[in-house]
Amino acid sequence: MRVGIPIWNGRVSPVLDTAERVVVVDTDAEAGDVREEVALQPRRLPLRAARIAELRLDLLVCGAVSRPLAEMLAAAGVRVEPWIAGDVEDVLGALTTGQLDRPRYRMPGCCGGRGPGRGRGRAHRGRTGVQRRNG
Amino acid sequence: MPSRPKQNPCDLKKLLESGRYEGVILDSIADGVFAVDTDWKICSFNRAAEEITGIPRDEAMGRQCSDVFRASICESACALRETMKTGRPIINRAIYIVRSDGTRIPITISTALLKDDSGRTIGGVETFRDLSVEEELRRELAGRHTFEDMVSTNTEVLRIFEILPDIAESESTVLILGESGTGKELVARAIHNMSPRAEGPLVTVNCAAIPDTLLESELFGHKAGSFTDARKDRMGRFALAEGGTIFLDEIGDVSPALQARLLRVLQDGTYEPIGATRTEKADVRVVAATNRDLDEMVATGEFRSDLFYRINVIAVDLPPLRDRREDIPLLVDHFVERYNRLKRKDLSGVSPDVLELLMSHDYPGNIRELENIIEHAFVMCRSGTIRKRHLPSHLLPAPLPTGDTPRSLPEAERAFLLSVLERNRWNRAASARELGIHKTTLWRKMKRLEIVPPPKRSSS
Repeated sequence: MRVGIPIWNGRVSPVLDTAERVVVVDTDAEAGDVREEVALQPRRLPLRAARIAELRLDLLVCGAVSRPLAEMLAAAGVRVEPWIAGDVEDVLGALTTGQLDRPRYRMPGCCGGRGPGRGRGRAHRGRTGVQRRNG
Repeated sequence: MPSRPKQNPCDLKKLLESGRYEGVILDSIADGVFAVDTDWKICSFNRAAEEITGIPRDEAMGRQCSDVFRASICESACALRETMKTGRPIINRAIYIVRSDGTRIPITISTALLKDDSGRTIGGVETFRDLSVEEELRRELAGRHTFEDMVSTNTEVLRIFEILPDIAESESTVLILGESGTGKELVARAIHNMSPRAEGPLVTVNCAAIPDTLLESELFGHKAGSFTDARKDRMGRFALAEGGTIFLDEIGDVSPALQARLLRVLQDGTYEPIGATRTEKADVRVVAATNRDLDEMVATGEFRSDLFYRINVIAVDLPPLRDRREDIPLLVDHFVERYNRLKRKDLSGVSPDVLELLMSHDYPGNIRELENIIEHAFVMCRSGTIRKRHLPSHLLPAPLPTGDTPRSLPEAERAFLLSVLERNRWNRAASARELGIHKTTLWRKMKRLEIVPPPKRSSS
């Protein structure tokens, strides 16, 4: 599974609309996680949404996201898990163990796991979590 | 009636200093206020902050400020970080935050340091003001005065904005008139964008920028071998604009021979690439523009009258900027906003004396000249407000010829006349023209103020 997380100072970037880098992790790789960091240059939202779509992610885990950008990502078929906060390593760990719904990973004001940003696009289908491929 | 116990001012001061009422005072403020410790954890969050961010205080306390505040500048240009680093407060910087419902809230922020008794920094405080209402009003006002990428409050231009959708909807040829820099290309673009051809291409040709010998091939294309350098077939701009719009800028500069070929495209919708034996059909809408007086050119035989009547089906006449000075403040805001986006800066606008200067300028280069002035200022001004020192030097009034400040009205008049005369190399006719007075009046003033022209140098 290819997961993208906008990163800033080792933490999930607070605002996707202005995030400058995304760490892309392939959790299915044979030799453990394969990571790369890519720049997220465009400031204009349509170009930003297009750039994120180009990354061909199975899931984008991010912090705050404005409604217009969330809608553009949904239209581009990007599955988004927004309103997540914390260290990227902790968040990745929680994602692989299916614990990302825990309140400690939720941004304040985002209803302990049922933030208003959720439920759009395909993010609401099933429990959020990634199981490592056996092998 | 029992009298109320009198409050001793010293008691109140002590109570306030004790911090018991700090929360009450903070909650009574309409601006959002939060404080962070040196680990960027929220340690104070007032009621207005709860309302503006939509985050309850108990959820905000102890969390990373960037996870709570979620501002556009958290990652790249945190104002509080800047204050912590430089010790300098930031006042009224315009940014936005993202609330939990995904709404972007425009706010202004100000920052300050928190220090302990020994002067050691122990944190920072940020106050912020919700500008949603002001922004909404501004947008509503701007909406009334904007059209595509054009802005105006001028009655004549607003009338043009009103009829442009109908013009765009029709398939008629349009002639846009106006001095250089009045926005003819923007009008052409707006017409194309709103027309049924919007999905098709918009091809712009500046007829004055291409030598006449090349223009024909540029417009209609050519076949290989049709002339010495024609090694391959080449599509012309009319072919590239198929299904869309071609914008022929500076059409008044087209030669009589080419005028005849353009007339054929407009009359029959057909043309022949150079060296071709087959006639091509053109499904292209033509929008033309010029800064020349085509009426007069027709009268003097420089421009074909039949072509003039073909292109002059609908005419849009754009007034020069000096005739729509009321638009200058709006245009300044528009360009400041644009260059803030382009240059990733956060300038707040221009100072009142700069606006005064911009309002009094004559703009021979029209809106393009104003835009260039703002672009120049963006290079010179790093942050804050654009001031006089950031403007191009030709806009600034010439300094007085002497270092002394004039102390009376005749002295000021004398100094001013001297500066004008020197600028015009003591040519009295040119100086009088600049001053808008008769040269005899200027001569009388010079005599009265005892201004003596310098002796003429010999040409040896």
